[in-house]
Amino acid sequence: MTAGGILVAALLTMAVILLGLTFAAMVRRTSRDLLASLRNKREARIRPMLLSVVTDDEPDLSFLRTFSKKDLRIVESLIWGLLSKVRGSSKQVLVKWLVESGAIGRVCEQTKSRSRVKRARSVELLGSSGIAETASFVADCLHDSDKEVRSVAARALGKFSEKEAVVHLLSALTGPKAIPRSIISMSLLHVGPQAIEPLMDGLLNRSALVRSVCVDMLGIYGAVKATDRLIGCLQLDPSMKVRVSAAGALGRLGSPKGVEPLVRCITVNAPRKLRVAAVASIGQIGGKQAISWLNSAMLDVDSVVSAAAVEALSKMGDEGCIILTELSTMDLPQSLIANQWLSRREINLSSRKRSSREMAGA
Amino acid sequence: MVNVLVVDDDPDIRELVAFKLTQMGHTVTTENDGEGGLAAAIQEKPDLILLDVMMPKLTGIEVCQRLRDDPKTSGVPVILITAKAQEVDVERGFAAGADDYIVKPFSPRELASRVEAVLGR
Repeated sequence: MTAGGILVAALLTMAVILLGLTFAAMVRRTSRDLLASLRNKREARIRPMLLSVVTDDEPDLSFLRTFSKKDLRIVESLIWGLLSKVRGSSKQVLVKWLVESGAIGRVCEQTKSRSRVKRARSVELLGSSGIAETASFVADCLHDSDKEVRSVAARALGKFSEKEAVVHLLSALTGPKAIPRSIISMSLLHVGPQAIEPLMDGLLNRSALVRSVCVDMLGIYGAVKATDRLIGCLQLDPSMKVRVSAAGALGRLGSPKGVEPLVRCITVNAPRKLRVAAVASIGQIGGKQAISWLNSAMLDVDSVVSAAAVEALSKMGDEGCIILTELSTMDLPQSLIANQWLSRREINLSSRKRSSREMAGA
Repeated sequence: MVNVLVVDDDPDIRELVAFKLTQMGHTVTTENDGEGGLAAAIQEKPDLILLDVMMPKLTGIEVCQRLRDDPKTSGVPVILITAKAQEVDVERGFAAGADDYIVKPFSPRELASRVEAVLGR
């Protein structure tokens, strides 16, 4: 065979192989599209039946027993999708079906899968189910080797609304596989009021980060019963970050009990961050005593602290603004700073008026 | 027969709410964003509007404010649909003129009670 002949044969062979591969890809795509289309038709048939039952006053999924295996796979996927959308008797009946069909068991097993995508997906599904018995599988994934799986597990754990979830979440803040504070905090927020007791226990944790998160969350939850413990943190915690968080939390709680300990933070030789946080919180708590202390704080040698006092007074409504306006007209040490506030306020007001006029004109 | 407009960008919630309301004997139309919802409310003048708070283009609260500002729609009752973590939006919703709210994930029974209560006022 000549060289030309070999070349032609080689080119023909390549062409045949390419055609074959193209044909195989087309067949594969077509069959995939066909399967997807069949699945969509099944789903379109099953979905309204499921929604109709789920929204019933007495939902009952026993009719699913007559379904084929293929249809039941679709039902399972639809039910997982609906779990996070409903609560009450509707959710209970969906969860019951998942348990009885073995779907929950299969998903729990998948939390140990070699595929990180399957582990993450299974943890997400268990979180949406909220079944208390599966929380331990999700909690185990807080220590997964993959960072994304750990984050998904942290988010899922918050949906269980269980006290135990708080303990696991707080433990995930520290260690070599620590989960970012922002994710843990968001998840703690989803747990609900049941989180308050374990968060209060967390104030005794060895880690300053854990104590700081607990303090912040107690403030966000408005846990007034934690006031005394938070005052203790403000006064005695060895970590300045925790003390600053405690100052902020006491402001959110708004309990007048917090004023005196906060005032001690601005009268003693405390770091600036703590004095600023204390001043802001005194303003949040409010009251005549607060106004008097903020007035004094305006004389702080640190301009950042005195500015914070002005800010706090200005946020106390009409009373605070009246005091600042009056101070600006007097000949007192605080008058200068009150004047500066008044000037800034007037500039802001006139620029807002100008913007409104421009928008009205437009 | 009561005409209800449901505005939510989540297709599952839209469908679930629509199903429940249809079971209750109401006629339901749906929209998937705030702008579409506002336009539909002005055009169709429904007897009740269910509005999700967090939506693209216009939020539920913005839609509610505009409905209250327009004399043609100011009297239409509005129920806000808000996620559990956004309960702080409820105050803003009432300030904007909403009549009631339901929290997601929602209970179909609770939805029915709220709808009946608002329509009965």
